[in-house]
Amino acid sequence: MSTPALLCAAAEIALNRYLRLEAAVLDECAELDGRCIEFMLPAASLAMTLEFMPAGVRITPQPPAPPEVRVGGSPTALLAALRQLAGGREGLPAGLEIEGDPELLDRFRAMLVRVGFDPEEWLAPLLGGAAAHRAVGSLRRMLGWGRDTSQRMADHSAEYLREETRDLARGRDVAAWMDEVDHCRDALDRLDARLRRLEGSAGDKS
Amino acid sequence: MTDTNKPGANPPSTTTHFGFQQVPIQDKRRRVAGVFDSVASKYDVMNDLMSLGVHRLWKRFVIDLAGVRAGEKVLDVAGGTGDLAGEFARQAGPRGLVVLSDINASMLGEGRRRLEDRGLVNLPTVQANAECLPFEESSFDCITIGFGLRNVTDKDAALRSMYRSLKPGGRLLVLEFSKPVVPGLSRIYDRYSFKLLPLMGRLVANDEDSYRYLAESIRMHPDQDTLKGMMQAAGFARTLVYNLTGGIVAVHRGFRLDA
Ligand SMILES: C[S@@+](CC[C@H](N)C(=O)[O-])C[C@H]1O[C@@H](n2cnc3c(N)ncnc32)[C@H](O)[C@@H]1O
Repeated sequence: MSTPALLCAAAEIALNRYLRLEAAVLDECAELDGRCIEFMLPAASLAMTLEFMPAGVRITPQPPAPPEVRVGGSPTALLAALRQLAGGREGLPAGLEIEGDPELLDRFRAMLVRVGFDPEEWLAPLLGGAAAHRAVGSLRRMLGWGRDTSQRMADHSAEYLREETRDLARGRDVAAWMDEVDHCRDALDRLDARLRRLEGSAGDKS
Repeated sequence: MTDTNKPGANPPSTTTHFGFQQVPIQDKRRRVAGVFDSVASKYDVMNDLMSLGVHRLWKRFVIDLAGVRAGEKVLDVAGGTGDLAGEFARQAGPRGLVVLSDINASMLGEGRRRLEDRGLVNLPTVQANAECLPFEESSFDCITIGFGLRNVTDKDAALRSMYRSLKPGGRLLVLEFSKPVVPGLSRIYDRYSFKLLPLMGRLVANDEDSYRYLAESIRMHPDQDTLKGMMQAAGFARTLVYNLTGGIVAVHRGFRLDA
């Protein structure tokens, strides 16, 4: 059981964006350097390992060293855990199977709460915005998520990249850009007028 | 074909491949330089055409995965026209340092011009051979080499040199053409790269031979597993391969984890 590298990359990139919001959280990552948590979603044959490093976390399909703690569960349980996280509630959620030292897991949970981790936003690059809402809202879709997404991610990296990085222009971005261009033009016109006035008044004085 | 590049697969010899030809080792560097001299100014247009625009997405993935933070020191090896370096400069910010390096002066010149066009004027550029980078040991947090490694004569030496230049904990990202992993894609891709690429090279850059070299060099480059093994042999840890677009391109990432 492992997870396609691209799915690990997507999770890592998005998670690090959160963790890097707070210098203190990064310091804690540095303190935990080299320690690992393995996450398993047996229903979707997915497993990935999170390893702390000074710049955040590294996510790999295989554990680089025996993980100190393993977390597994049904998609329902993981979903509940994510919801609990989003709510900022204390303690590890019920229904997860935790093997090993829960302290590391709890520290990770606390870090996510501190940076205001939002599971819907986190899942969005993997699933596309609307699908993330559905996934977090519905157990059935969440079940399908693991199986379909891992395949989709492997095949359609460009799709992920479009949503995630906005490299390909989307309609609303183009519209926003056009607005900015208009704005810029207006500002230029104003500047031009002001310059002319200044030049005019300088000319009057001389 | 890719076997020819497996570490240790070649008996010691004084020749190396240049595309599909065998040439004396000293010659390869000169010939590669010739190729990039002649394509430098059309390089971007060709990149877009050759990869049907997807090369921007591939580079975007490298940029995201590199996760450069403010204040970091980054080196882009074989950086050519500066696509990666420019983005890293934005992320590393004024407290960081991004060095653009390439063996070829005309590619570097083109890169500098393009960076200036984007308002990036304070990037040091260094003309250097990837095989023996002229930087102090442990200088950089992140090193990238995008579509450059396949042109390097001694890839193992380049990997070792990049390893040396990384700080402990630092990461190397190699973006390179690789071996399609999706069944059926190989054949289509072969046709595309051997027929269409040189044709586009002739039409756009007026330089069919250079683009034929590119197609051939892509095919001679080590496949995913071979390159991963080479990185591990150079000392890299946590080495992972990310296949993009069905493996036409792969990103290899490894860390220098010694203390
Ligand atoms: C295909 S271009 C890639 C440019 C840029 N990284 C990109 O992705 O657009 C390959 C570059 O590798 C450079 N190169 C070839 N051999 C090299 C070597 N031994 N050391 C450093 N750069 C080298 C060439 O001069 C050329 O600019």
